Amino acid sequence: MVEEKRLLLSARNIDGYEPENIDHYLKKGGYEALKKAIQHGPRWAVNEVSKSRIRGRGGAGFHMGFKWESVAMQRAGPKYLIANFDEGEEGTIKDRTIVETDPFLLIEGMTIAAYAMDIEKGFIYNRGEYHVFPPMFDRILQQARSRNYLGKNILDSGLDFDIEVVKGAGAYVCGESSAILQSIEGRAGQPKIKVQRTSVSGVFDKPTCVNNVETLSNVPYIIMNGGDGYKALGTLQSTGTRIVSITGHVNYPGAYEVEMGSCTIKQLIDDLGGGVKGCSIKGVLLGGASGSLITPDSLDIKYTMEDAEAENLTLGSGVIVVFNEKTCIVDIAHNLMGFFAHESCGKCTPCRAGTHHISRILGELRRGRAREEDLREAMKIADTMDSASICGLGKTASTPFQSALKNFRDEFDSHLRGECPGRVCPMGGDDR
Amino acid sequence: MKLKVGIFGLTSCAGDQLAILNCEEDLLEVFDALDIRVFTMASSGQDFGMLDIAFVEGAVITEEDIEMLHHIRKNTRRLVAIGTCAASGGVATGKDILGAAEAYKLVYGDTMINTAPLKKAYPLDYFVEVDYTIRGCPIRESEIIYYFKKFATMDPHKNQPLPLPIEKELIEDVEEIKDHVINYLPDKCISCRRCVNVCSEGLGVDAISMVGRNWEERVSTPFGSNFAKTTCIACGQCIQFCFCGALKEREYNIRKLEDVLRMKERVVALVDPMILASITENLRTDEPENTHALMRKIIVALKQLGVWKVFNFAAAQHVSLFSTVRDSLSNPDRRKILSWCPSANIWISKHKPEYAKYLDLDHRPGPIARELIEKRYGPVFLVLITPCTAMKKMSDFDAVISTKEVSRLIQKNRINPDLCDIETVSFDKFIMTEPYIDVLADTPAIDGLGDEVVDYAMAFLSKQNVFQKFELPDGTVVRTIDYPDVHIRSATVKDLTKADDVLKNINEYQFVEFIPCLEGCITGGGQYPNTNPKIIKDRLRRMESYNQGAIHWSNRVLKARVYKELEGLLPRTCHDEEVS
Repeated sequence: MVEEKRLLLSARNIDGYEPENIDHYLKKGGYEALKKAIQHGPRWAVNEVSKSRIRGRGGAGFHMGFKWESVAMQRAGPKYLIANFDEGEEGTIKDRTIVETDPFLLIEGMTIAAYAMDIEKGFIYNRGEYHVFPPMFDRILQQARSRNYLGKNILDSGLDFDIEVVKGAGAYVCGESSAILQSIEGRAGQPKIKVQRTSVSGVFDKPTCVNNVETLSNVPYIIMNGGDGYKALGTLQSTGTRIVSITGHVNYPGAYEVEMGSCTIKQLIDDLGGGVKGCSIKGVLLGGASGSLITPDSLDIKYTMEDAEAENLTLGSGVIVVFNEKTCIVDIAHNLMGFFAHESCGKCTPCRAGTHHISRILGELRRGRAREEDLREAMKIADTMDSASICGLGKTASTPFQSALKNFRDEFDSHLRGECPGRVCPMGGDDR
Repeated sequence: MKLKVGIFGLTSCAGDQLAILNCEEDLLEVFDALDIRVFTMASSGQDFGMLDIAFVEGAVITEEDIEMLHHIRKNTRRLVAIGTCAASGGVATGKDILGAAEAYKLVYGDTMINTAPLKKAYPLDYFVEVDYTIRGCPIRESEIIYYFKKFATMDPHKNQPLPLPIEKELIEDVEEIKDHVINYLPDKCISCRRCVNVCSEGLGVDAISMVGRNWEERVSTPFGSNFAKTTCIACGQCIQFCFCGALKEREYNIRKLEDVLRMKERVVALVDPMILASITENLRTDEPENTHALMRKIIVALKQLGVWKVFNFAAAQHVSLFSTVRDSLSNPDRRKILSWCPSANIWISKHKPEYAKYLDLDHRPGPIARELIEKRYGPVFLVLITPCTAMKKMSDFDAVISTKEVSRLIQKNRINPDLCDIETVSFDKFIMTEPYIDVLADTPAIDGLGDEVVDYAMAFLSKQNVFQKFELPDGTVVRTIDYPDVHIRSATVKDLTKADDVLKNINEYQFVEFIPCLEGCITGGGQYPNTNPKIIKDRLRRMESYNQGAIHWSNRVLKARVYKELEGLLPRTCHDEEVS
């Protein structure tokens, strides 16, 4: 039986906890980490984060300590910190859960980051669809300012730091680190070809640290327990805990926090998700829209980054979407490619045209009008997209299609013959 | 608010209106979204008020048709020509070949009909401005439904001037549509961003950018507004940088010009020698070693087309320079910015309005040329042939045609410049008498006209002209000349993004000129597009050889003296009040 290990969602254990009340947060032991960090100095804080070997939770899995060190090294000021709250990945609800359960955790994490890297200004990039959070952030930031946890000379440490909430306009691509910078600067949210790292020249051409909300929320725990204390959790490569969003055809969908490496994906679905709803399981989308579609046979791998990488998979933003037997894989792949065709920003041709054409070919396949050559053509386009796109969106957009074709070849074959095993697709139907 | 739509028929078989009625499946859905005010075939009554879109089919054959067409154009914001007859005249243009009387006899025999047909049949765009054209005989049902839906729901994309969202445009005046010199055809656009990059980074103008995302990404002005309201300076660099022909200049109706040439006796062409830079890229002619021979070929071709006199527009530019020099020396606080480049004028008035008082708009080359020509020859129809896009915005001329259009005009009329006798031909002269012809061979502005300006100033002050010329690190060329009593400084800014230094210190300079087009007029919007470094090099070589071949290229002082002697003819008399 898999047990939850609640570090970030520890507020769930307390009855009557009011997330928007700073007194409740202080009673829980909030802002102790900030005080400890100020006691030991910024150099120590960066070292502890490096020692913890925590990796970014946004999807790419970049080492957070390395990022912090390179930003802390920069002399040119002012520096900026961005909390990436543009949680657009399909099925992912982890950041939202953190902000709903314990928003001060994020604020404290950002303040510690600012202290460690000598940053003056932080941004929370709020996802366009999350309308409720900007007013809430305003309320809690006001409370933090009134207690001198934000603003000028925080806790007499000499640190000046404030946070601004920036609202996105509802573009998936703005989760990408160069597009988020453009969006904050007020331009159209489109990625740029990076000449220099973001940590050298980011938003407004200044050194910038872009971290995911979940990553930043881990910082108070790391500071309180030290890098070694955090490293004790999880495996050698994937330390700490992870909030897993289990959605789709399961009995209890939701966000659950587990220790890395303590269980397999199958255990997560069965124990925490409460098993598959309806009939048996057909496939799992691991790691969000840009992740892979895998078969039930490969669910026995441990939930760690290194095990997933060994299988050529990615945990992405920590989402597991379960599909039961009544669904159709071609339909799912078509839906996902349609999502990317809609969300592609249109800047580079491989992604703009590639997503559109793969989506069109899969649409033909759903109606039983595609041929073997069309699929080969789609694979060719997918290869081009992988190698020639500017940003991560285009490079990973074809992954669900490619993995579906690899793992569910028989489904595609039966569609080529004009049959849909799940009886979902409108075979022989018209354009509508 | 629903769009108000009218569907009209001029002289035709009404097949296109029938085609619209035949789209049974989609018709009701479409008619729900639009407010159909007039449908000649399906209803009666002609009182329609102001319309948003008028679909007109049929050719213009009778006087009533012309009247009707003007009435429709006056009362609609967009006019769409549907069908072959409306687009190009159609079957009725057979009259042109047979002759009107014979064609009448062939069709009607001896029967008399009430209406008096015109001698020829015309398409709609002969008389009025047509915004969109749907071709076909009859038009395809899918196409008309596509257009209806587009009009009803979103911006249509074909043959369209750039302001995209049609709803926004509807509020504005019909007249403003004519202000567009740049057209955008989204169907041809491949979203490569060359135009956006040159507009924002190359020029710092930022008039266009990409809007929308994924497959729907398009080039647009801010909020799809009219070009006149944006920061656009009409330099046409976006046209030059467009590889696929999505951005185009608004074209002058060549058919109209041909008729003018046939009807009127005194059609005068002002030719900017700058057209030589790219005209051989399409005009099928042997390119001679000597570019002056090419110029003569073009002059002969124009004369064969029916042009009465061909003048050199560069001469008008030089006269304009000279009068600017004369007036700015007498009034040093004003009129420092040379006015020969219309795009630079627009740039100053839109982007740097605080410096607009230095602009010398009284001495624009166009009005000066017209004044001098009309003084000597009486009223004329003035056609300017130029590579400049911004000139198309000016109302100084009766017609402005670009390099592209003049070569099309020559080819369409089957004139082979190679067969012309070019030995005895040269530009006609409009400002001087015979003895001065050899002295005044005016040269076009490759690198701006800063050198000439300083020479003219020296000649005007009766000083010796040895000036120092040097280039600043940002590419600005500065010329200085110092005497105990007088200091002359002139600056030529070749990069608009770096113009601030010169503008801030404008009081140090006597003359300032701006060249918005990258590499100067050889990449003007009216030249052939798709410039790349090699083509630009070729063009530069051609123009330099032309300038070297010009007589007395080095003897500008003499030229200035000639101008001075001819001062009685110069427009100081035209602007007496202002100068005195």
